[in-house]
Amino acid sequence: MIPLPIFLAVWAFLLLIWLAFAAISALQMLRFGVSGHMVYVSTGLFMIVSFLVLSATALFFLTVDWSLGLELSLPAFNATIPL
Amino acid sequence: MFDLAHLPNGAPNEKAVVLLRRHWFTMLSLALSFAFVLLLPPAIYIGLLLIVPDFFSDSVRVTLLVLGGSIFFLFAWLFLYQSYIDYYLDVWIVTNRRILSMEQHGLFSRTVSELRLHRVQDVTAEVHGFWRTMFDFGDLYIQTAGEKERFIFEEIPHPNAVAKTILDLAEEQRKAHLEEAVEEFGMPDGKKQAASST
Repeated sequence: MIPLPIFLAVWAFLLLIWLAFAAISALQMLRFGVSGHMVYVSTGLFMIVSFLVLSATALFFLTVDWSLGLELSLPAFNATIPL
Repeated sequence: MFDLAHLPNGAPNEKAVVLLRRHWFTMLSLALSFAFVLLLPPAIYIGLLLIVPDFFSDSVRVTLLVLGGSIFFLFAWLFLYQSYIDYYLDVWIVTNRRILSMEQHGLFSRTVSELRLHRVQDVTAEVHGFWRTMFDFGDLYIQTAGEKERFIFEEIPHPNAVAKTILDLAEEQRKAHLEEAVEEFGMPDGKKQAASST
């Protein structure tokens, strides 16, 4: 059985990578963009949608029983080998 | 961030005349692809709900689906944002004195080139293809006398009108430079001799 926290740890690691690239992307846009409303609108929209997805995921995590795990069992088979 | 009123290395009386980016149509296919990718997690959810309703009775499977779906969506959303940044940060600015070309290549590479208008030798606008003709966008090639021999404005709207604008501005700059040179150095020798003989 693979405990669910293992998958959560993998998810958290990927999220850290995502956060790093998201921060760099936003900084690049704010640093090099020509001053105008689209810089703020696009960056704001990106942050708001990301925040909503992360919040919904976090709310879901509160309802999860983390003591469970993924059962890996090989299917039982009765094979007769033809002679 | 910079604004058009305060360009990098700007001269005191320099004003931005044209600000150009790629035509919005060039982003359309990318936007449609991303729309499809972003809709995949909810589509898979609805598909499983209809085809295998018992799937969601197992809380472990649901948790794994949420973990995978959320991180997939976040990365797809990030890539869409980065594609928009790549489009938005590619800018060509024509002022009354020079042409600025700022091109973003990926996230960590940026090229900024500058060309004085009086060095512009030739401007060619090209519009090829059905969609480009319908929406009037194409490429602009600027032949220069500078270190970088050719500037290319890629997939800009109304390239013929922009070409005319650049040529008119370049002509004005060449006249202004000629007047300054005559004021500072006087007329060329040949014309002085011709003037003195008459």
